[in-house]
Amino acid sequence: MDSMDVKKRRAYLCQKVIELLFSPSTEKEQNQWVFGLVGSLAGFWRVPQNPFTRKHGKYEITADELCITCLCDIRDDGYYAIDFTHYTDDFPEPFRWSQHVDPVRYYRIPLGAFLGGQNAEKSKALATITKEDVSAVLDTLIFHPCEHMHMESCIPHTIRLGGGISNPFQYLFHLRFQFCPILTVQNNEKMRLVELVYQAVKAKQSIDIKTLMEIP
Amino acid sequence: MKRNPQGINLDEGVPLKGQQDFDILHLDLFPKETEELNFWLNNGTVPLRLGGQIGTGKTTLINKVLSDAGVTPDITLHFDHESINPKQGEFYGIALAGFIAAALKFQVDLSEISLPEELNHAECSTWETLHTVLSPAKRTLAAHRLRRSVIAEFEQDTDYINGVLTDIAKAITVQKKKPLFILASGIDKFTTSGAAFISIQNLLNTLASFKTLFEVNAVHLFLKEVSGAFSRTEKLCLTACTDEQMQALIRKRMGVYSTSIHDNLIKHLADHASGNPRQALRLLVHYLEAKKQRIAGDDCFARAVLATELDYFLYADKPSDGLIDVVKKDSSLLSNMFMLPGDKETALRALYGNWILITDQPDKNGLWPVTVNRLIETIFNKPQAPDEPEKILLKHYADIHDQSAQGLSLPTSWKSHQATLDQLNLDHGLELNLAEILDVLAAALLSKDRADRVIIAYRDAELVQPARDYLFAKANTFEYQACKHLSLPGGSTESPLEALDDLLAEDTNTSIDIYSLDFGEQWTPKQLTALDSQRDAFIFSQMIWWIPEKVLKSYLSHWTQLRQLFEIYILDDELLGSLSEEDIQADITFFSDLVEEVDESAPGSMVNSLKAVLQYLKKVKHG
Repeated sequence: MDSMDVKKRRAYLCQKVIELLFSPSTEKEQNQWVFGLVGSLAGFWRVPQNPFTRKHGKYEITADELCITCLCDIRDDGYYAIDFTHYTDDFPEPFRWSQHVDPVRYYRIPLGAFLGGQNAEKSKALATITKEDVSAVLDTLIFHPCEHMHMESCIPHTIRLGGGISNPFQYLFHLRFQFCPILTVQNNEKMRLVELVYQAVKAKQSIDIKTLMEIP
Repeated sequence: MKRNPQGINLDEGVPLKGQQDFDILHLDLFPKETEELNFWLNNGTVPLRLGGQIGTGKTTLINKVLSDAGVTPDITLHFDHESINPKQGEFYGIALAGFIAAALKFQVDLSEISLPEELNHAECSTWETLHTVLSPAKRTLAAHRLRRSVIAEFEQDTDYINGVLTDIAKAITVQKKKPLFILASGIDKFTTSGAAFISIQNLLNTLASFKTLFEVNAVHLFLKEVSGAFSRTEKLCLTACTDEQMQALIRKRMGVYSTSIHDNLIKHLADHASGNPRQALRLLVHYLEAKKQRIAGDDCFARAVLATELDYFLYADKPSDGLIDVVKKDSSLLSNMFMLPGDKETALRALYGNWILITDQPDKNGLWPVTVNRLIETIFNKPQAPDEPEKILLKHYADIHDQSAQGLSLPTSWKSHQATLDQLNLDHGLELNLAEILDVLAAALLSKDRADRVIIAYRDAELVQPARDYLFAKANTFEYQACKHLSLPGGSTESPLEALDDLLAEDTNTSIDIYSLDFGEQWTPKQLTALDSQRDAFIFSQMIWWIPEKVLKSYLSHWTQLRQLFEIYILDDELLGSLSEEDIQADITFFSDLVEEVDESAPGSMVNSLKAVLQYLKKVKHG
């Protein structure tokens, strides 16, 4: 296949992965999804304390060892906001920044409309995916987002905060990965997810929250 | 206990055990003593007392040396966590179970010894069944009561049992054609003047006839050796570690996250550990708890020091100012200071309670290098002037920043700790409201992988139920944890130790993850002391102990060992102030939505507990 086919195949795969991993539909499913994620953080980050509280309907996740809190507001109309606070002894005031996505007020390219659904081209593409395809797609979605920021003055360069992620669940999941400082855990997670997604797409099966949030 | 390779590993300083623990967490803090213990294992013929103060790492050292040598003792006796009820018969029950197990393992012919047939219990008429009764494979209430009944039978004939033990041991030695190696652990939990230690003397004498490794406290190394169980033993003493070793321990426990703590703060934490590994770990735990509450860096340190002081020394029996003055001045004490007859007030108490720490081996004249525990230096000869607490705070601040306190001004942020500093006299504990307590307990309660313990002292008994419901609710945030509450009244007409023993032995369909125990006001000194010696029976259980504040001082003064495993908090009365009806209702709504099953799910259990809390809040607020 020529490179255009590869890119198109990976585009379909990208959309499929988002549907498989990051698309809880009802409010209950969304709460269960987020709860499953925050419940896995202590084990994934290898810290003794689960870094999650609920405050006035929002989720607060703390990565103490990075001195960062993330206050997460996810709504069912696609809007989400993650407010980051980096608290430090080096400066008198904490350093703050936010990730906002507001598809209700602002136009967002509906990639799902073009890449989602069922069609022959998509079915053929998904049937011919390779593990390299899965690895490349998961890289751009989670491990090394194509569009990302380095907040050099307050967090290590190895952490890449994806700027172009419009899906809140994908964003939280990528934070789970990015904020883990243990290379072996990250590497094992990459291998785990590549295998998990590859098998699920090939077998046309879904992935439940518990399996997704397993600790490598 | 679950460990986090390369991550953060916190606990109260439970002994390391097993290859995973050693691979991830072990540091060689005692190379010389390791070598000596190895030599004794391979070549020793007389018994050995391995002694050290509370928290030095005795059990970890023994576990590591045995593991590396690939040696398993022929008989292992845990005198401190087989039972909560350390009467004399209980000690013999433990010993007998161990000796019989070894005899059965080595297929020794015991037909010449007729003990099983002599007991009036048909259930243990053979050696095999007697062993099963004394050491049941499965803890059930019935098995527990049968065991107690059998022990009661020979409790009055311990001389005879001593003879039986000796005969069994000799038979095993003949069969093995090698000296019997016995590990007798847990003796360190019994103070030399306590009833338990007195009642175990004859048994220790019997054990000292063999190649026995006795795990003892440092105080047991100073027993007069003219006669008695330890008259024939060699001694090996673990002393305090260096500051560099404590820094290494802190970094090891933090894993890759060690860079998140400034080197300077690690040095100060290590310095205040005074060479005691468990103390270092407790300081680290409290430091991270304070950091989680977004307290500024050096304030976290102050909070860690205070909280650790309170855990270990609140209401503890202090040695005299005079002794501390001598140690500060001379940095040493002669051996005979620890052997003064009737000396309950000074040197032995100071040593057993870790008020002073042995820093090295003695010289040939019996002079032991000692130092005052850095944690409590400030409370002796405490100044009484009104501005003195601020001076003490200034000294802490100066220490942290490696500056002289002379001419230094205390930052405004530190002045807010004035009230906290006033508590440095250790006459009252750290008062927190329930939400604050929950913040610091969050790590303890929210994971089955931890086995932490807290003592919560309360003034108003009516607050205990809703506070408990709230903590149980939070414990079930992420995974279902079965919580059980029990009242354990003490007093001369009660048997709380037996009740606790029964509780831990109870066979239920669902094993208990968190034990909540209300102690009441009537425990006697004898009961309190007996409980203290069985500290390690609780080492694998999550526990919340509720104690009326008016008796906290009395209880803690008897719990030198127990408090090593517990964090101590005082619940203030402002329950309403720390819990909001709206927040509780929001949590109920949220978690009800997550409930998949009605029974035994984490959200389900949490919802039920939160509803009880909400009901209480409404009743109090609205009548």
